Amino acid sequence: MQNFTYHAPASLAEALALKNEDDAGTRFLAGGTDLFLAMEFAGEPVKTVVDLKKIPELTGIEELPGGGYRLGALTLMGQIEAHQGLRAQYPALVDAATVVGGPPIRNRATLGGNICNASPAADASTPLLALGAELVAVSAEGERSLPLGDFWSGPRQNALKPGELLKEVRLPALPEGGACAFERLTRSAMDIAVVNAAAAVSLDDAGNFASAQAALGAVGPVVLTVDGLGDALRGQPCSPEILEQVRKLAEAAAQPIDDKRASAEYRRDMAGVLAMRAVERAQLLARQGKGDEK
Amino acid sequence: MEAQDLKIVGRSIPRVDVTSKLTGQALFGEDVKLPGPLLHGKILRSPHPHAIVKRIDTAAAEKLAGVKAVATAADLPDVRIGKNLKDEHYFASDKVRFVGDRVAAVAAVSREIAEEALRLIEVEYELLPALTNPIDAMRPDAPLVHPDLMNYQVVAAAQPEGGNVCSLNSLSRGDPEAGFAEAHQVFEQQYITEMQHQAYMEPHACLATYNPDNTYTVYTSTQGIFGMRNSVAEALGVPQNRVKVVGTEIGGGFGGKIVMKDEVAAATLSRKSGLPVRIVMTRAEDFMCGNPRAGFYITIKTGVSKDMRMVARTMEIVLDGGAHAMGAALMCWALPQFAEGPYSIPNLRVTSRCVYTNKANSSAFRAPGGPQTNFAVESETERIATAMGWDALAFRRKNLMPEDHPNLAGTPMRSVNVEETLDAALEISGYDPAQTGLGPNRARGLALGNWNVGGMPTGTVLKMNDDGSANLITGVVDLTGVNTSLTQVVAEALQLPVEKVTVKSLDTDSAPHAAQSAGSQTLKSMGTAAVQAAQEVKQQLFELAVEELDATPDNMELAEGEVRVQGSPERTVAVRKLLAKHMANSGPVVGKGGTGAFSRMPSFCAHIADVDVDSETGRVTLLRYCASQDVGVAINPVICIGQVQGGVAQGVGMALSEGLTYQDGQPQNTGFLDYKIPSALDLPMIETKLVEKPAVEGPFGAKGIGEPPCVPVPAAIANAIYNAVGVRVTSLPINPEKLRRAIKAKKEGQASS
Repeated sequence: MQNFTYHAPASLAEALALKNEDDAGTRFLAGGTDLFLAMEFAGEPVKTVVDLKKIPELTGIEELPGGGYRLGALTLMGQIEAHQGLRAQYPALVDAATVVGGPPIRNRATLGGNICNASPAADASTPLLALGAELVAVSAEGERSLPLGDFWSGPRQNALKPGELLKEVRLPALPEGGACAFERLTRSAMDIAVVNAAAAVSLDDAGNFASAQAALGAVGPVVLTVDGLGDALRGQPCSPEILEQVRKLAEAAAQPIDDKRASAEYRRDMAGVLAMRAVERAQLLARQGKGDEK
Repeated sequence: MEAQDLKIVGRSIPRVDVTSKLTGQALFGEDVKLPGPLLHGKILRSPHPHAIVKRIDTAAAEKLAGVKAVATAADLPDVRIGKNLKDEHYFASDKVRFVGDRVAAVAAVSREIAEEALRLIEVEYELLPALTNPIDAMRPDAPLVHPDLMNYQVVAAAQPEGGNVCSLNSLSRGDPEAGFAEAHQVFEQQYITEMQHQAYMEPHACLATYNPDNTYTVYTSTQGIFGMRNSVAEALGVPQNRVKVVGTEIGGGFGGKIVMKDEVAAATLSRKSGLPVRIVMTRAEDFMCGNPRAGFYITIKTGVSKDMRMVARTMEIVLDGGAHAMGAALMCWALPQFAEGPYSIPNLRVTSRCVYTNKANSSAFRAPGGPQTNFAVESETERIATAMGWDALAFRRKNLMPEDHPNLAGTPMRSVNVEETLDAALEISGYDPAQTGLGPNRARGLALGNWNVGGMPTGTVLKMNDDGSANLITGVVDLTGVNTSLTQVVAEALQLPVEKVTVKSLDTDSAPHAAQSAGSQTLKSMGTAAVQAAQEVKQQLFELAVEELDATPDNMELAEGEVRVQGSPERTVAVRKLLAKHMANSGPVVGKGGTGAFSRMPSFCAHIADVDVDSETGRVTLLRYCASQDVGVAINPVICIGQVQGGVAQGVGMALSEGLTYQDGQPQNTGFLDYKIPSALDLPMIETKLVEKPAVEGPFGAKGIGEPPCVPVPAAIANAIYNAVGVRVTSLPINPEKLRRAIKAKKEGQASS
């Protein structure tokens, strides 16, 4: 491990000031489950580490007055896993957070760090994208919000500007009659996703799709949305033919590559299978939520 | 063997090492500390799979502050080393032959400085084309990994053929070709397996000191201190008495900690610096430079008669040897059992070629060659039965080897308990050959396995203390609870409570020569030696008691700290009293025991895997696993069950997820992120049944059982997958992508036909 200077400021202002002193050589530390690996094994040059864990504004899980949730950037995967309110409304996110590493990792790894790390295989990012999450970034100049879909520009690349920090994630309320689901394929029980998928759907009174969004992980440079899904499903029942359409849209959305974990061909195939399963299960949950348990 | 009245053998006493392991006090390879300063050693390893080393310049590294020594080939005698074929320089001198090949070593006051120094060593390489596949390596135009192969000194069973084939070994009986000609049907198929790393918890770690009396002391996490000492002495060019190897606690071996690693580098750096040097491999280094299970390319051909007999078989094996020939001899001694499995086949030939490639050196891993060849044998058993419309269980029963069946080497197989072992697995699992399906995409699969266990030269000393307690001195490493089992063996033999017996693994200066803890024979060899030593002790005590008891030694017995006359419980004398007398007259009571090599004797197993296949993703979930194991006598049943469960877990990894992969000679998965071993979450409860029937040799009739449980696992799972989805996968691992592709191909084939 290389030598570095360590700071643990207690305020946001102090953290931002430290970063501004040498933006390129300074890295924010949340859980450290990605950063330390990068420093130890990838030789990422880091002179200064600014530990964020003492900053209260970056923590907390709160339900918002108009519906939806605010999750501080330092929210631990383990906190999401244990949160009853989130589990009731956003099982896709809770399920995803629950499969990130093992318990010691989940008690260290943060949602904000996971998003900023910009891995296309980040499990928690896929449901957040399907759910239409917004991010709030903060800098000395103030706060700005941006859609999660605009945040990643490539593997390990995010839209934070110099001097900027991810403050929180805002999850919108699910539409009436809505539900979500997460699916993942791995090589063994504890593993990075070969492919993951999440879907958020809502049903109309007839039980047909009113809205549908899906996202795919590990099949492109960033976590991807399945384009055209809402238009294709709106007003339709959840039939085998419609699910086949979900599969085709997901396969078309995927931009996979060959790597040591899987071939591009298999990843595209699995994007279709997992998207179908996520949509079908979200739809079932939505039906159950409407009291229509068949 | 007559019925035995055993008091201590057969009980699951707690392991003698349980407290030190559970409280973290056990000292593993990295934990060794000596008084005074200590240096950290690091190895410069080749980044290229195949290259000529033109120049090494260590000047800049030597000048770096904090660096105390740098070592290269120039610091060692210019000799080639190797246990089977002398084909390896300890430090690369002419060429590097795999990514991770040792080029130089540095000792510094910190690990960081040592790493920095490695970056300052300049090495000029001339790159050569790399071979990552033994089939390619056998082509006439393939580059040669060892151009001087045919001039190398052969030590053991290696028989160089030339080209990249560092050993060609073959055994046969009968006339397989005539057998095929007369057979009712002949089946042929190729099976492929990948290199599998042992994935022990503790990476290789050692500490060496060069002492003022011109000797070396090496502390290392090894399976065998004497083999290690001999290798270290050979590479250093010093007599064996000048190297002392101390085995530390060992965090798993599975065959991967037999071959010498960085010990000589540490010893050389210590000699040059005058300080102790510790070298601990990173996990990535351990994956790169380990000795994995060889990848096999197997062509198996079987002729069967109309009445369900296997009448002829040939098996041709091409094995991926890696950069050096260490795997070859292993495969030679295992050769006789590869093709026949637990069956009896009159016309049989097995041919094995060990081929050099530019990859890690393959060598021993729990039953070397066993799971690979069993995958072919037991997949074929089911495939043939299916094709012939036979009940696969009846087909097996018809061909099981009988007692005294001579194996391909002519050794009669004794204590053959294969049928009892098969029946035990059927019983605990409720397996019905007519009903292997368990629902859509769910089924069970069966495979039989065997592994022949011999013995290795091993000696021991049993010392009686004044108070009647005993110490057993052994040179075997306490792997998998062997010292606990030895404690039970000695306690039983001397009729002492286990609290009065201590078994200690000592170093090469202190203990008589002993075999490595490997080959499933440790307890068999050392236990037999210990029983002999106990007999000597008893004999000495009985002779001393002749006067007191007025009886002959053959009428005496030991019990509860006394020598008694059989049938006359009132005629006794305390062992303590006899010991005092012996001490005064002729010195302490010490027993010696020693064994040479035993003949090989089979241990059988039968496994039944229940699987669920996700046909859309290709992911296999194990629902249940049942394993029976022929153990002879279970000295400590809980330890035996642990062995079975651990073996199954490693077999599951080989079957479904493990494999060292290379691209253009570069290792692709040198960490647990991408080298996937099964975790507890991937495994069901492994239900075990120990089949006990005392064997004709071994302490109290115990058989070797460490290796067999991993043998039939890949075949059992492959057979279950076939029964679930109708797809026969003939290469390992059966990972989701491969199985999905096979399922799709089958569907497309059905759609188009």
